Formats: sequence, structure tokens, C-alpha cells
Amino acid sequence: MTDCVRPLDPIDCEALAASDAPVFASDAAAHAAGCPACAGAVESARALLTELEGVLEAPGRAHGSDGPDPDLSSRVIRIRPFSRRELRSPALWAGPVAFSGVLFAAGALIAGAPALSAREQAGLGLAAAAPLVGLFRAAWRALADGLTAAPGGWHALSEVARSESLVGVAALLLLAPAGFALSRVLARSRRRG
Amino acid sequence: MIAALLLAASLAPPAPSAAPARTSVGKTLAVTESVPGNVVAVFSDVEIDAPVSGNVIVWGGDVRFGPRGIVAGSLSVFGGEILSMDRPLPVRGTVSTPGALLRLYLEEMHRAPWDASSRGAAARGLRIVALSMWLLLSLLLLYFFGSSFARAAVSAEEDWSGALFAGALGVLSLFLAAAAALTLLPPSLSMPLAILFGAVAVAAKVFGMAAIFLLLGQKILQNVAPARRPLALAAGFATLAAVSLLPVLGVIVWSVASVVAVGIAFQSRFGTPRMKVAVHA
Repeated sequence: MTDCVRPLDPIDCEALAASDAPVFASDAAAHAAGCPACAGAVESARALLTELEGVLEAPGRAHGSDGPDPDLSSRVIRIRPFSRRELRSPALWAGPVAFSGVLFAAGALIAGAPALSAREQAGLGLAAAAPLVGLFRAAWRALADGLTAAPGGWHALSEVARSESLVGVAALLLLAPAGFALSRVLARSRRRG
Repeated sequence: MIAALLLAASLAPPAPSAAPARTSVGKTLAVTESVPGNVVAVFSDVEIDAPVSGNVIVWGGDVRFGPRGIVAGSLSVFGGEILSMDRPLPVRGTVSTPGALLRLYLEEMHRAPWDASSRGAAARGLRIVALSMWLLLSLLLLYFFGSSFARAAVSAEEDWSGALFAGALGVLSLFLAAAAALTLLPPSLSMPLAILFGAVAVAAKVFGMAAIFLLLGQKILQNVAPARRPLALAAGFATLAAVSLLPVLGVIVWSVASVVAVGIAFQSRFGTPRMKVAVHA
């Protein structure tokens, strides 16, 4: 028995424990904050998640021991959301983000290095900034170009395409078997799941 | 969708008779005599060696000017290039090359866009910058939709051939639907529809590619724990990105991965859970 008159659904407890949005009660977080019984349930769910996190890494784990079956636990672990701790852990995210930054800098340097003039090379900061400034200016111009030219370009494309209505009829006729085959493939994969 | 397209096409007014003055689909278009209106080319190169009083709009082709070529309107080249010439572009209106970042970048860096050595280095550099954007975007998506990618990766692992088949059929269906919409419907309907189909394809590719990075990385690290997902995604990305930089093979591998990516997104319904929780009152 619980002391709470409106106990949270276990799925909501798991959602709160994983820092996800609750499924059933939109005010679940606020309710748990003021209800010791439900806060305890959320804590239990969080403890279970933490336990599951360690299942795969646990050395010497074998069938027949206590806890979930390894195959099942592996599947649960694979698809569970990030915990709040994982989302906030710099150790998890900093490396890949830094890799992305290094890649960006390397690309910008390769793109810009041959163009550095003697004056630009006189200042290392300016030399490093030149390709980046050029890249941002080019990206901005490409975006502006696209926005300016798109309406007229689309209209012209549509005008030309409409003069080829036979192609449209052929596309429509081919779309029927292609769409049917796609729906069959997707239905088959859902049945497997 | 097919019925809706047919219905809309039957209700749509016929194509206006005031068609562009010169058009071409799939064949090189040589303008050697004055054109009073627009020149529109799709999947065609255009050679302009006579005055054009309207606009020149090219989709998926390059433009070259002859000594007598001049454009009174604007020049827009989507997915192509304006090839080298030793004089300023003879275009009175605006010149735009949406999608051609390389030319704009070389201009910003005060380098001649036709200089082969500059183009090679800059193109490689921009490719690596684009790859870094891929990784950053994938990490952002993983951060906000972690379990969806995990589900999509599991789905792909269970049925690789199905993902490839679904991807090929998905890309084909979207392409055919866009082609049917563009050719049978008026611009007010066809343009939003074509943009919608394109957006679905792009979203599916971006989602699916991130799922492929994750799955590949999990295989490399031999670890599927959520705490290893960011590292796995980076490892998978690094592998596929390195292959993509190889000449010829890289393009093939990246293209096949893109098709599989669309299939993974469709097959896993963008990583939504397979079973829904029934709510009983």
C-alpha cells in the first residue's frame, strides 16, 4: 500500500528517473516533488536504471545468477534513454564534440592555407581566422543566394516540368507499384519486430 | 497519395501557353540566336552565345558564355557551375549559384574559382568542414533523441537487407511522387508538395545516417551501453567519414549508406517504439 492518494504510474516514475517527459500525468514531476511516497518510487526507478547500466560491464556475469537475463537486459539497456547523469556528464560528450571541433578547424585550415598572403601570415591569429571568415561569409552568401533565387527557380522548374506531362503520368504509374512494394517491405519488417 | 495526386491533377488548370522561350530537359542547350524570354534548362548544360532578354535558370547543369552571350535578366544555376571566362559575367541582373559553396568561398578568399590547385585544396577542406557538421548534428540529435537512435540501430542490425530495400524503394517513391507533382500540378500546389517530399527525404537521411554511425560504432567498440553511445557514434562516424574521403569508392559507399539511412528511418518509423502502451480508464 502507498500513502499517496494519487500514486504515479510506474511508467511515469521511469520517465522521471530518466529525465524524460511523463507519459500519463503531465504534472508528475511537481507531484513527486511534494509527495514522499512517489518521490521514493521515482528513486527506486532511478536505482533500477543505474543497476541496469552496470549489468553489461559487470565482470564474470553468467546465466543463472540473480537479476535480469543477459539477453533481455542487453536489449533493455540498448534502447533505454540517457539518464540525467549521462546527459550532464562532460566525460561522455566532450570527446566527440572536441573531435568535431578539431575536424572543423582542420577542414578550414586545409581550405584556406594556400590562400594566405604574406600580410596574413604575418599574424598567426589573422591567418587562422581568414579561412573561417571566408567560410562564414560564403555560407551566408550561399544562404542568401538560395533564398533569393528559389522562388523564381522553382517556378521555372515547374513550368518546364508541366510541359512534360507524359513524364508525370509515367511517374504516377510507376509510383503505384513502388509504393505498394515499400509498404510490403515495411510491413514485413514490422512483423519481424 | 496517388489518388490525391490524380484528383489534384484533374482539377488543376492546364499549363499556361506562355511557356519559357527556350527550354531543355536532359540535352545541352546552345543559345545562338536572340531569345525574347527566359531560358530554362533541367539536367542540361547551357551555352549562351546570343542575347537573352529574360532570365536564365539552370537546374543540374553548367553554364558557359560565348563572346556574344549576354543576359538582360538574372542568372540562377542550381547544382551547377558558371564555367570560367576571362571577362566579367555579362549579366545585368543578379547572379546566384545556390548550393555551390565552393565558388563563393573561393571568391571570398580572393582566389580565382577556376584555379585548379586552389579548387582541389578548398574542396577537400570544405568537405572535411561539412563532415564535422555531420558529426555535430548527429551528436545533437543523439543528445535529444537518444533512445530513438538506439531503437533505429537495433532495427537496422536485425534486417540490413530490408533497410537497403526499404531505402531504395523509399527514395524511388519520393522521387516519383515529386516528379508526378511537378509535372501534373500547378506551381502553387506542386512546389509545396515537392519541398515536402524533399524535406522528408532529407530528414530520413539525416536520422538514418546518425543511426548508422551509432550502429557501426557500437560494433567497433563492442559495447551498446548508453554511456558509450556518444563515443560509439563518433567512432562509427570517423570510420565512414574516412572511407567517404577515398576517391570513387568513398562516393559509392556514402551513397549506399544514404539509401540505407532512408530505409532505416522508414523501417524504424524514426525510432518510435514498436509497441504502444494502452491506457485504461
